[in-house]
Amino acid sequence: MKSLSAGKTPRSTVQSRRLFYCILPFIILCFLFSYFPLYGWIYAFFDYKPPLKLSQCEFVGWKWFKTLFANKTQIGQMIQVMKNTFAMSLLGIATSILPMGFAVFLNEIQCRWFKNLVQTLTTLPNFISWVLVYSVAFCLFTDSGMVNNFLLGHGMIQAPVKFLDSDTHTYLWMTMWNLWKGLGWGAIMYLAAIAGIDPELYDAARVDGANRFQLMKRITVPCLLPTFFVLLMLSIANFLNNGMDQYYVFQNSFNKTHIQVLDLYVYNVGMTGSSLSLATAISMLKSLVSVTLLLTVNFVSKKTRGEAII
Amino acid sequence: MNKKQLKYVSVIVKLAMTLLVISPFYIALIYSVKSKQEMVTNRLAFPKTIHWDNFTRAIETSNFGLALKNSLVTTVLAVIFITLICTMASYIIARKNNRFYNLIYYLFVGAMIIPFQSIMTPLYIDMTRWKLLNTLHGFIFAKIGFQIAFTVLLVSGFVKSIPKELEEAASIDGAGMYSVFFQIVFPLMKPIVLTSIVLNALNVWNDFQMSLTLLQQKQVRNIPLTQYFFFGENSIELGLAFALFILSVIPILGLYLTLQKYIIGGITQGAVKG
Repeated sequence: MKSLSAGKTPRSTVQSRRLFYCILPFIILCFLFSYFPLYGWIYAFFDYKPPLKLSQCEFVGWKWFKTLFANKTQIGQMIQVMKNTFAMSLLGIATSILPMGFAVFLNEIQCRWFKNLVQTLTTLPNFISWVLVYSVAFCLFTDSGMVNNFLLGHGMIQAPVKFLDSDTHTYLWMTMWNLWKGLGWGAIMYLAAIAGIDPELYDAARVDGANRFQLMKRITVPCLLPTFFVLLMLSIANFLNNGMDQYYVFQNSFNKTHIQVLDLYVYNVGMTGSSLSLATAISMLKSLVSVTLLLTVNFVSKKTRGEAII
Repeated sequence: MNKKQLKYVSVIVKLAMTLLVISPFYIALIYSVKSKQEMVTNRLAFPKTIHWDNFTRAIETSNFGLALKNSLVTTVLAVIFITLICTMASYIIARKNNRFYNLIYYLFVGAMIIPFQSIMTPLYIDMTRWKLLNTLHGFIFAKIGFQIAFTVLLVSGFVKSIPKELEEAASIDGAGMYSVFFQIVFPLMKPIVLTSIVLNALNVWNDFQMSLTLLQQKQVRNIPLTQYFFFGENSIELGLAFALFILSVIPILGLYLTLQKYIIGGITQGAVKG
């Protein structure tokens, strides 16, 4: 605070303090809910049983971290969970090219109202929660759902197909729902970048005799690559953070093996598996890896592009 | 490929994608207003008579009124607080560009990189201890605490682009700190304020994970939870389920469609900044 008040009139010092007091409560609030719970990582070193106080619980040191790799079944489960996490993240990264393609094609439409309509409609699903996505999926694909009714009614199948209560193509299904929800929203970012491309580039290319396809290939796509790169970096930084909502609502006893990503696993262990300490230990490891990834990616970005992403 | 062919291909691709994306909404809409008999006879066509029975029954069986009330209370209060707090805080942070306020800025932004999972269990334990578990105000507090970081990042970037001269002129004319803020700066911040309102409202309204952790009793369930448990507790009647879906979607789509311009504007700004 010293540098603040140096060389200023008393009035402005008082004002600065007043301003600071104004935001103090919210700094505290932010701190209380975002940073303070980090102290809870201490639970990972205790055998915490909910109604008891921490001081009444036994200190177990690294026990929970060791449990994770204690026996074959545990290790097997961890490997399966990591496999799911990696699969979902890699599929997410692989399909992240689609919003870009969508945006490039959308940009080719000359008719303004049609373009806006398409954009609005495809963005809609992004604004409904995963629970609602699930409820639609349920109504459409369950045993007595619309699709099965339709297929049965037309005699195309004999017995209802189990789309949801099965473990076949789980990764594929999840990626599809992800795309359905995120495609239009993802395209917005690229549309913004396209709007920022210098029109003179196009004019110059047209003078040189380029057709629309060539314009797209030689100008639009290369100009979008920096945006694509930033988003790619971000998705690498979020490699372990698949989020829980989607997998939680779609999970059932049939597809549990392949749907349980790390975030969901932490929740299942902590909230329903009744070992808060173990869940804390896993989430602690996860956070450390995530933050390391983020910092690494940021560092790489600084070195290669001369610009940090955060 | 010549110009015309390319155009046709792109229009067809667009149309197909759009249809694919909105078909579930269409199906939900027509199924929710169909009677059971009609569901069997004509499947995808528009119903001959509009049948509101599904909606009234869905509202009764799922206790939708209570869920709507809970969702509205939490969303409205949280958004009002977040907006007021974050606009003021971002203004101060952006204008007092010294080391102290930069530290506060990084404190806020740093909170963003902490994944929710890593503090979920401790938060649950703390909330139980503070007697905030299963209360709406507890949920609102937690939501505000989490959203501050993102909103400050969004808004303070915008404030930096507002020229200082107007404020200086106003304070020379004798305007106080608050009147400068509310009469000069706040109106200029309108676009970003609306963006942050929409994004925060969507976030709070659609929140599932935090509500699942913090709101576990029946009387505090919000819409996503009600929707989720509705499928767990009832044998499913398609019309009913679709009606509940439509009911839950309407408020948020209304908000999105009215304020759409600002969402895209806000995203664009974020993208340009990189």
